[in-house]
Amino acid sequence: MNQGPLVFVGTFFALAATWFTFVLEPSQQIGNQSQFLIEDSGQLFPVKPAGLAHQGEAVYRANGCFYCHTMQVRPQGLGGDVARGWGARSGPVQSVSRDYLFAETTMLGSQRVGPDLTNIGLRQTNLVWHLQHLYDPSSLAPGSTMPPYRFLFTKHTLKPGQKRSPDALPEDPKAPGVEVLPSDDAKALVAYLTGLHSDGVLYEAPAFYVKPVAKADKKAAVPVTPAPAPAK
Amino acid sequence: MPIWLIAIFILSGFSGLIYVGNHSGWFDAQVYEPFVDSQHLEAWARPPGPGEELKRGKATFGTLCSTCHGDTGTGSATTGCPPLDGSEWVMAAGPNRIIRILQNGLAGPIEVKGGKYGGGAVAMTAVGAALSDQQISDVLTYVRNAWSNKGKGAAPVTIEQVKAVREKIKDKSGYFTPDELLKLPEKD
Amino acid sequence: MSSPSCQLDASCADASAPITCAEIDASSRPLLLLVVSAALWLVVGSILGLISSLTFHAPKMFADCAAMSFGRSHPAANNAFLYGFAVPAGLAVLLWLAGRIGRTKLIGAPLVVLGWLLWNIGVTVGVLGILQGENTGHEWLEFSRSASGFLLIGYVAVALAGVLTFRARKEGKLELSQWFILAALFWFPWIYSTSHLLLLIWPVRGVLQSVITWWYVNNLANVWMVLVGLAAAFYFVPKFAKAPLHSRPMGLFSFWSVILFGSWAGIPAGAPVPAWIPAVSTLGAFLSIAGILATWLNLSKTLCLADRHAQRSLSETFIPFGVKVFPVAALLGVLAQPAGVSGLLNFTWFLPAQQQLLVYGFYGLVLMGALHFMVSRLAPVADPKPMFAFLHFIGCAGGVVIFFLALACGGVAQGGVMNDSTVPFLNVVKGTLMWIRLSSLGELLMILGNLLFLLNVVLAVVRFLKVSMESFMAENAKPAGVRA
Ligand code: HEC
Ligand code: HEC
Repeated sequence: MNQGPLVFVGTFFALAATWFTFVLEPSQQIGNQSQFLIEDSGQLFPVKPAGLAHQGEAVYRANGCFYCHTMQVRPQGLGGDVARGWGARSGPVQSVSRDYLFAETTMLGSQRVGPDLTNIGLRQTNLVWHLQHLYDPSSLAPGSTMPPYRFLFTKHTLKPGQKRSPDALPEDPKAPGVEVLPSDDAKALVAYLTGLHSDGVLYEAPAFYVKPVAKADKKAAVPVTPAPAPAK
Repeated sequence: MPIWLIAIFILSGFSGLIYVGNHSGWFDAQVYEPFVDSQHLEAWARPPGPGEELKRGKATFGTLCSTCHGDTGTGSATTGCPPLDGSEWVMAAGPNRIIRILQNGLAGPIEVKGGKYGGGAVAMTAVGAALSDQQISDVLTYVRNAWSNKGKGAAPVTIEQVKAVREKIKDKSGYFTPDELLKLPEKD
Repeated sequence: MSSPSCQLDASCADASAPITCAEIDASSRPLLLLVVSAALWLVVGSILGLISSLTFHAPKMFADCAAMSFGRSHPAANNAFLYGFAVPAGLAVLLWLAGRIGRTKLIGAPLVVLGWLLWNIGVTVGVLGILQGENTGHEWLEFSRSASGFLLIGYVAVALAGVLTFRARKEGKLELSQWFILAALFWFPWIYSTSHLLLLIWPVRGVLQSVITWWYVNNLANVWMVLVGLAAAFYFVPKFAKAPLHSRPMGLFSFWSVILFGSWAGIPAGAPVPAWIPAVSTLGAFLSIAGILATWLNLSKTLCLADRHAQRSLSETFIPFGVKVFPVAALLGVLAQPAGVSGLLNFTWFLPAQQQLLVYGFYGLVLMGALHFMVSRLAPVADPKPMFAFLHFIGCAGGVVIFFLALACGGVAQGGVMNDSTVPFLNVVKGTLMWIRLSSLGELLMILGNLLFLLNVVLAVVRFLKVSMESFMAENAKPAGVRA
């Protein structure tokens, strides 16, 4: 018997099955999501990032920041993400698909050499801190293994009497008279970082709220830790 | 094939299914870990505290639409008024058609959620003609985010959209028919 | 002209076969192109990998050099390994096996040469692009659009030759390895073109991109590489043991298990996608356990029939090692999947460790073993010295074991402290350093092994070319009168 066609058809079937489950079906479900209207504030979430932040995403991508940083907060009860303060939602669900609606490239990341950056825009709002950190991480976080991104800056010695540019990084006492200027890429990157936040209260990611229900309803009675699955 | 291998296969498949039962949210697109299913999610969700435009929209709905479409948008088969709750017309990607319905009214047989309505004694009059852009945007946003339409991620209807559509059909008089509307794109 | 080193080719020496082993091998020589470039990229990749891990020894080293910074050298290294080495080396083995098992000459040699050229242009453009900051942002699919276009066409050209050769086989009933070969030939273009289209040509939005990337990565590592590695293992292991495979039905079970469930595992619990996606992924991981055990049992039962005391060739050390690594690497992958364990191990160094064990410890070593065998047949020259063989094996196998153990232990420790929010994050970072530095030792050893692999392949090819050149010259130098 010629088994070639059998193997071919079997292979085709197996491929089609995984393609259906992990490509087609997810795109049916989350492929055409839109912004969500937050009832309390009347605001839409997520917000479209500004132009500069959008450019910054390209810098983030080109320099592979996502090999060391994740951009996904795991829900309560799974790992220590919430306890570390990386999440910004008060409910148990943290990152959801809708958060990434306006990312040109979704860079969830797979390793945490550095902290999660999903909500870095809420955690660290100081632009100068970010620039200084990119220029020399260990000056702000001693012992950091994050590589310095000096190639995103230009450095030159001030001529006598020349004034420091308002953009320049704070003067390093060890190198007086030297001015360090961020490039456009560095500024865009920082705009991107400070714009990152996943805090909208969504239908699928509700805020902390305990519904006053009868005692029998175990699910709602335990507010902070996720309730165990109800017996089916 | 040793028998223990087959036993392992069955056993691991079985425990995998139990895992799916506990963690899959029953394949609901809205359920994320750690919720186990949509009821669990509902139990956590906030009570429906309408935002400003939703509040206004709800009020408009109550005075203008609920007489025909029902308080909860279920419609009525006896009068031929189609449901708004779960209606594919309401939940379309964009509000192109429903703004026109409100502005000029709608007459003629229509299919909603698989049922046949309209074309009978009661037509939908141009109830929106007298409303402001803002009022139309509010009531349609409300309808798209109320009852079981809630949480489906329907984008709100903006005042700009209402303005744009009204500008386009300013020369049209009389009812739209469903067929006429179906030729239009859902969304500009 | 059957050479004495051809003792292992018993299946080809069948008297009824209308074609000899040597003829098949001679027709397969164009495949050497793929082998040489693969060996070269393997070395390039491992050196780039070492450069990227220097970050953890001296973070400031490449502060002014964008191309060498971690975020660029790391993906460049990984892609050089995957697309420079893993895929073309796999193709070379697949095509050669298709001819050997099907007892037919290689058909479509020009396609192989063309495909090889396009493929390597693609890899070069892609790797250089990454170093310059052209990264698509999708892990394992970092190559720019143009580079991956070259790859796809190049693959199709080479695989077409494979399919033609496969179809020319003498028997309808397929040997076990042939099942794996056929599936592998078709698998890659489907997954690569689908993800290429949906990520780069008409990009989908949002998290869907990540779902597709996961799908692709799991398909490449857990299905395609496993198919190719097992095709080689099921061919060579019985040969080494000089006995038939322990059980063919069990081998078929492995096959179906790999293609049906292999690609499901790998989407971590708690990912920002609807809960069912990681849950179904876990189901797939569980379902693949029996297939992994069947593969392990089948191959080790066959291997234990081999003569322990006989002098062993390079292939006979590399392939059995890879075969033993497979169940460990695959089962660890399954173990890391369910939410409880994933909560501890996800995002730690454990996952790169497991991945390296699978793609280098299993796939890389099995392939190197198969390639050594193949090269020694396509370009018959003397076996390498024992000292060389020893260093080569210690480099590759010892290196990957050290690398894996260091990072796996480091990963478990890291997961523990990461989830303990009382430990400041910087302390978590510092705690992993020792383990990462230890793993660099493994990396150094692997570079040594890879270099020796390259050396062996290049020397064999060069010596062979020299010999055939000389005999060619000698023939043409004969006075015309003699020939007439
Ligand atoms: C080699 C791994 C590595 C790479 C690559 C890397 N980082 Fe980091 N990053 C770290 C580590 C480790 C820390 C924690 C210590 C510190 O604050 O420096 C960190 C911290 C940070 C922080 C502060 C987070 C907080 O919660 O305080 C930001 C912001 C940041 N990184 C941004 C970036 C950007 C932007 C890039 C790409 C240009 C990048 N990182 C590339 C390892 C890395
Ligand atoms: C006089 C009763 C009446 C009133 C008042 C009324 N409708 Fe209707 N509506 C109808 C009828 C009848 C149809 C079906 C028309 C047809 O095709 O014959 C309809 C159709 C619709 C449709 C399209 C079909 C569907 O179910 O999706 C929408 C949307 C709609 N109405 C919205 C509204 C809104 C919003 C209001 C309030 C501003 C409103 N209607 C007020 C009777 C009414």
